[in-house]
Amino acid sequence: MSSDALTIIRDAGPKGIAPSNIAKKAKLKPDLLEAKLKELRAQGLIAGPYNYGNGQVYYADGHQPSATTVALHIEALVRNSRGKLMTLPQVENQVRQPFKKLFLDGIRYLESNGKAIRIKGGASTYLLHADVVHQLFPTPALPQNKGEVDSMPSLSRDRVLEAYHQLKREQGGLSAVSIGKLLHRLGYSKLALHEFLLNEAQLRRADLHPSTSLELTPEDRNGAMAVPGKSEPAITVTFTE
Amino acid sequence: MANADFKKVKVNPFDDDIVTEPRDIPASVLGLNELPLQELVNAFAELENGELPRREIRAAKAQLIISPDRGYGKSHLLGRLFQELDDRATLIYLRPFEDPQKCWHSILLQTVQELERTDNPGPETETNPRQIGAFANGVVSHLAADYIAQGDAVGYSTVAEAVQLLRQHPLEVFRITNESESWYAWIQAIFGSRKEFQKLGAKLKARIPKLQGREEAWLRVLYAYAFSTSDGAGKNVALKWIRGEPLEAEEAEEVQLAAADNQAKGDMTPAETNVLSFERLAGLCRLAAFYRPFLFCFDQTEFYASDPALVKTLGNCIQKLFAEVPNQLTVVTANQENWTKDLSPKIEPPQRDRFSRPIELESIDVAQARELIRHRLMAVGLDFRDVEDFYGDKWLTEIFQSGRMSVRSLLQRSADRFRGFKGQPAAEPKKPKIRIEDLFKTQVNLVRSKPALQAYSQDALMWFTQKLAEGVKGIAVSKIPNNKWFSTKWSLGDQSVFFAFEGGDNSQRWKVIAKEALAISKSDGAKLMIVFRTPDLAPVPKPGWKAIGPTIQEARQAGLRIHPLEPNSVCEIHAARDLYSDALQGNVDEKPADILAWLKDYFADRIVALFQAKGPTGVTKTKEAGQPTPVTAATEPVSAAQQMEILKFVEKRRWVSVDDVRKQLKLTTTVEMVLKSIEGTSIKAFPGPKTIVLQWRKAPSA
Repeated sequence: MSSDALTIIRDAGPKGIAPSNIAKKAKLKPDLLEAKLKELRAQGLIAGPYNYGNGQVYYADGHQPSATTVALHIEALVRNSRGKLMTLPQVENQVRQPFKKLFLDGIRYLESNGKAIRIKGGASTYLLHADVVHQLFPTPALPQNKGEVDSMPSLSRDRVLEAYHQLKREQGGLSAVSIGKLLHRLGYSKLALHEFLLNEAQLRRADLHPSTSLELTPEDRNGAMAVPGKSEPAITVTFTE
Repeated sequence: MANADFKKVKVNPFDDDIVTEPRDIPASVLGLNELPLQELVNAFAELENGELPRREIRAAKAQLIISPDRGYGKSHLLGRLFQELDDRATLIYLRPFEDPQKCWHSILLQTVQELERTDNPGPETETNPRQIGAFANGVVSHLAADYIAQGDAVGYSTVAEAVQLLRQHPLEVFRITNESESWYAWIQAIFGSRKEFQKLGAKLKARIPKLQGREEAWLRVLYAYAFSTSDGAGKNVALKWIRGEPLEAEEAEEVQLAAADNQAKGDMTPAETNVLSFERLAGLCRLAAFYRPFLFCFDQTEFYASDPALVKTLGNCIQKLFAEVPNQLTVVTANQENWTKDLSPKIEPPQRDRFSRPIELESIDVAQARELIRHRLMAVGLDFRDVEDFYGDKWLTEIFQSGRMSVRSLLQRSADRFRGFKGQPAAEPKKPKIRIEDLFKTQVNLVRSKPALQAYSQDALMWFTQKLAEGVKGIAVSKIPNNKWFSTKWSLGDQSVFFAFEGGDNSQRWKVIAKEALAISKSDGAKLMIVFRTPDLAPVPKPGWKAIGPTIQEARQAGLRIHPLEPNSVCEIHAARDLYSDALQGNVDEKPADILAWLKDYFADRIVALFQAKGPTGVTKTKEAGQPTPVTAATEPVSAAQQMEILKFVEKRRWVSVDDVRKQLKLTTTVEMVLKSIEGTSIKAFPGPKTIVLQWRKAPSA
């Protein structure tokens, strides 16, 4: 019963879910639901309640409003906009509450991690994704954090590690995390994540593993990455520091 | 790239990349998996708190070793744990059980087989006792110390010294004999006096109240094992009782066991057998308060995933061991994928809580790789210049450029490079059937090279008759739960074969088996009832079975077959199960279903032939080119003179196949016996698909 409530909240993803809907789907009475939500929150598996409209919303850990989740959402928007430039208000309009409150925090997070940049054009301010900037300006155009010269410029190591540790917790503390799940959780481009992981492996900060399983999930298969000099693709990753 | 030194080496030292036997592992490298090992050693050390004899101590949890994927060294870690704990623990390695209803029976049978292993590789000697010998001596000695310390020994003025001697030298003290003192004579006198023996029993009960009233029985049995001559009947009787087998009246008499303590019966149900097996296992562990705690290692757990009932039973076993069995640490290994997808979800949450947080294995780095490669090359006689050549200017660093890797991945790359150094062409891709055939033949030779892997295994025989036979040439396998013994049935058209699994030699039990065979024979259709017998078991029926002789004879006429398996058949069946297990663990690059299909095809004719089994034909196939030599030779052991001859011959030749040894020395004994005779010596055996190559090493090889 308990895992049902958690699964329901996780399935809701970044949209979150109202308590009444959890109760309906999990077939839980209000007092039991409240106790369950309290327990899951104490375990750090869910976050909430957040006020939204006239009601409240719960999120699975990793999806709740925060600078990083907002940043993730914004990053996906600007990356997927391809050649079309988006002004800041246009981006903001596509972010809904309760995430909208943290819009500027998200922008700052992206900038400080070298994943996006604001460019003035006339009276408008545009937001460009780092990948686009890279294509336009081959020389490094983004600010880099001190001490991160060895990490991929377009990715935040902190964010990857945060998502990695979340996934690790969700699978009972087992360290080898599916690259496909990591990709899905982060929303980065596959190429960028693979390059980042390979770099981490070369720096001995991560280990890449193939998989014995004959029944990989579509998500696992999607994340599979070729490793130079190895015949089998890596399916999972372990961060060692 | 060919190098003359490498060409002299007759085997590829990197081909040995799967650990089948934790007591025989290749050298370890510094630092690799050191933390997981230390965690396990620390968990075990909790059981050693306090002086012997100890109070009951429970381990915190079953230790869960998780490998990120195949080839990171789960079984190797168990081997290192065995080495590290050495004589601090009674070491028990457990292969998967097949029958959920008789899981404890399987665990107990394997435990007793492991107890019969010596502390170190090689034959049993005073300084290299069998685990059970050390255990029995240890318990009796500490109990004797209790007896003296509590003032029951008359005439001992130096109580403190005597107690100290018994407690500190439990394995040697009873061998001390001089004119004024014989501890052996003293303990003999205690056990010979009803009154004094009862006092000893009472002391045991005071120390360990939960032996369910079997204190005196345990004492009689352990005394019988510890003080019988090496080939004495007392040892066998003791082992039978511990295995939960019924004893003949004269056997009970031999060890002076009370009739009430001989509680196993010929007609026990599987459930009753299971309960008694658990009781004996728990008894052993409780008695470990007097000596070494037990270490139980459940390896190859991927095997359980094929059947949810098996996974559930595994969870139950871990829970029951944790809750009811003190003085033992349980270790369970699994690949992460198998654990998260196949095992953990099917284990009930309260039982899952009995597992520790995962202890995870590590990848190998370049410095450790250098050490591992050096070990392997120097062990086959190459020197440091060859080793440097092998590393190359760039090769080793280049293969680590994209990060660390599993040990097996390194070994596979090194094996490829070694072939290049020998000037061998890169292996051409083989057809899957040929690849599997080579794997199987290598596995058969591996089993042949390790006598312990040939011991009677009811689980391997169950797997053979159930999983392997299913569907072969249209055979349908079913379980008949109403039959106590013949619970596995093959059906093919109107013919049926029933199988029972019994390794004991008790006349009353065989009478029950014969009667059940007779009852089955009276139902419709042509049928046979088969019980396999492996070479290490006592032959049945025994010449002295006069009373039940007619019943067995009648059952034989009605279709009962006590079917002797030749050593080669045993090796093949055990190798088949091991190979399938390797495939399930991802240890070989073939799919489990393909391996199983190949094995079904390989054994098909012999499986079908069992429908016409008339006598001791075995399931052995006749020799074909490239197959291991079928064993028709005498099974008598190699004599001391022959052993010396073998050692000299191998030392002179340095590299030689076991077939050449037999041929050149004109030995008529079996390959298995030759290999048994060189266990623990300076000869290392390398099993391959065609033969077993022997290498002379300067130091005794593990």
